[in-house]
Parts: sequence; structure tokens; C-alpha cells
Amino acid sequence: MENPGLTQRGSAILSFHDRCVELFATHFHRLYRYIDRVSGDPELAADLAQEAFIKLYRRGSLPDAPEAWLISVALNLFRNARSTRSRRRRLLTIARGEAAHSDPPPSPESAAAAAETRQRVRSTIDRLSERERRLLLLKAEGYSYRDIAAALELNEASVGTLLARAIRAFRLIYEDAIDAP
Amino acid sequence: MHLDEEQIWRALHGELGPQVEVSVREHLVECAFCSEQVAEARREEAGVYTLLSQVDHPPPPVAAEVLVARARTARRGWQRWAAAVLLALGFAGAAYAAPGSPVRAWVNAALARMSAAPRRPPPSPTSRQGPGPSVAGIVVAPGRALVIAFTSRQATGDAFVSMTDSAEVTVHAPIGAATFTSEPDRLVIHNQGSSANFEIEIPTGAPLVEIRVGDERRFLKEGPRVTPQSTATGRSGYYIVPLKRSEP
Repeated sequence: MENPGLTQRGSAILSFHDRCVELFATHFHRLYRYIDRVSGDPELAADLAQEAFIKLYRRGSLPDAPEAWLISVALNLFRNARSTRSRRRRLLTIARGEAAHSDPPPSPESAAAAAETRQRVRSTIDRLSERERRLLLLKAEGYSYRDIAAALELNEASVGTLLARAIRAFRLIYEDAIDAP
Repeated sequence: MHLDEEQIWRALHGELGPQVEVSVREHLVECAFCSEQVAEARREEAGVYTLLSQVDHPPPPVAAEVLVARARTARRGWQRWAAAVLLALGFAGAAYAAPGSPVRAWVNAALARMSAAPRRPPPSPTSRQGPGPSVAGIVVAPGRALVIAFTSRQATGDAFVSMTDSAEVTVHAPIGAATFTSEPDRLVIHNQGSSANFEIEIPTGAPLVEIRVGDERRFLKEGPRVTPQSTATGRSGYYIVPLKRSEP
């Protein structure tokens, strides 16, 4: 009888544990970066990316599309966590802002320009529609059209067109922000 | 006939299906217009991705083994307590209700003793009690760094610290044993005059958590490393932090 905990891959048979470790090695950083970009909160992104992998391991078997499954789980966790973390995040932002005033900036012009670019990019990400934002950021992490369609419940046949629109929307919003006084 | 937008982007990303792969590639070799469309899409995309990288933060240093260990921890602490309490209640109820059961007599005798008995001593590490109705507590997010500060050294009592897969730090104490003040990056436990035991759950993924008693650091978790190790009991991820005054 076939062991459901084992997966045939090439000539090697990998256990569920090995597959999970392999998935972690190839996907953890990009799942983290994706949530970090979606949320703008690296601490939350670190928590949620880990939580998604823990849930995968506890599942005991791999889903049909593990990458898409991880994205869906992480996005659900993000939805739940967003409201409970918001107050804490505000407090930390205030505390860090106050601390930053007491530190002399290393290079005022370049630091200010970099901060302005970061703020503009952040604002552009936030102003995209939810679908455009998630689609664009997933593709930026190299996910396949198939995984993106599965994770975001889109028709796979139109992922390219939707992605083109999302990139165009990003550019327009970003350029508007530069032109704005 | 030129390629449509979907085909342009699929050609760029290598997402053309096997049925059209050859014909689209042949078309791109022959059609300068479509070839330029793909090149333009590539430039546009690269420009946006460069901008996106401006908001990135370095990834956390997490090892697969740590996550596997956390995943193998059966259930969260409160779930284990709840399950244990329900199981105990189930057995107790069944035993109490059984005809001719001696449990009725034991319960009645225990109730009579409790009415005159002094306060129960604090639980030892080997007989931890779950949080019942006489237990209070506080839950805070650990953030990048969190200091849990007991304002006073006690005559007796310990903090039992365990690692959990929860995202929050939880502190349990008997009602009236302390009051709590939560500040950014700091949880203050006002425990003057207390001799209670405390239970603290710390997320395994918390980057830095420090426990201070008075002006003295008595526990530090930095990433996966916990100091001092000597306070660990036989149970994995379970530590005893003394709250009493240091021996002279």
C-alpha cells in the first residue's frame, strides 16, 4: 500500500517532513517578503509567515498546491491579525519616531530622499485595489500564474492581463504622487 | 495579427501553454512590434519591482527546525488546560454519579476540610494548575523587544515561564496578587507585598523578551536562545524564574 506521508519526486522519495523543510527553504523568505510588503509591518509578517508553515506541518499532509495554500493561510491570518495588532503598531511607531529625533542622521539629503521614496512606494501599494496589490506583490515574488490564481481565486487564463493592469495602476499612482506638490 | 495583452505577459513570464508556445515564439521572432511590446512590459515590470524593494525589511532569522519543533507542540497551553479540565470534570462527574461510589464521601469530606483549611500553597512546577476563576492575567504582543518587569522582589514565589506557539505574551497570576501596566515594549507587574506564583507564556518566535525582578535581570530570551539555561526543568521549554530576594 502506498504511504501517504511519502512523495515521489524524481528518483528520490521524500517524506512529508523533508518536503516541508524543502518548502520552507524555498518559500519562507518570499512568503515573509510578500506579507511584509502587503502589510508594511515586518514583525507581523515574520509572525504570520512562521504561523503559515506551522499550520502546514500540523496538517500532516501536503495540499495539492502547497505554495498557493501557504499564501491563502497567511492572508487569512493577516486579515485576523490586522485589527488586533493595529494599536500596538501605532504605539511602537510613536516610540520609534521620538527616538529617531534624538539620533543625528548620517546623511541628511540622501536619508530624506530615501525616506520620501519609501513613503511614496508604501502609499502607492496601499492605494492599489486589494486584488491589484496582492496580484502584483505575489508576481514580484516569482509565484506562478497557477499559484496566484489558486491563492486569489482568479481565472488563471486572465492573470497576465490583470497583472498588466496592476503594474500600470502602480506606475500611474506613483507618478501622480511625484507630480503632486 | 498581433499578440494580445495576455500573450505578451505570458511570453514575458514563460507562462505560455504548450499548445501556443511554439507559434508565439515564432511570431515574436518575425514581429518587431510584438517583440517591442514584450520588451516594454519587461522594462515596466522591472521598474516597479525596483521601487517595491525600497520598502523591504531583512527577513527574520528563523530555522526550519525551530518551526518544526513548534508545530510538534501538540496544542496551545490554554487548550491543553481546557481539555484536561473537561476530562477531569467528565471523570469526576461520572464517578460522583455512579451508584455506590466512594467519590461522594470523598467530595463531602474534602468540602468540609476546605471550609476550615488555610489557603492552598502555590502550585509547584510538577503540579501546575490551569487558570481557573481565581486567576487574572494580561496579554500583550511581544514586538521586537519586550521587558517584563516585576517591580519588587518577593519573600517567596516563582514565575513559571513556558514557550508557546501563540503570537502573544500571556501572564497569569492569582487575583489580587499584582496589578499590571502595559507600555510600549514594557509590561510592568506591580507585585509589592505579594508571595504568589506567576505563569508566563512567551511566543517561541518572540525576538527578545527579558524578565526583570526589581533592578535585576533574571531571564532573557534572545531569538531561540534562553539564559540562564540552569533554570530549566526537565520539561522542554519550561523555566523557573525565582521572584524572591537573592541569597546574600
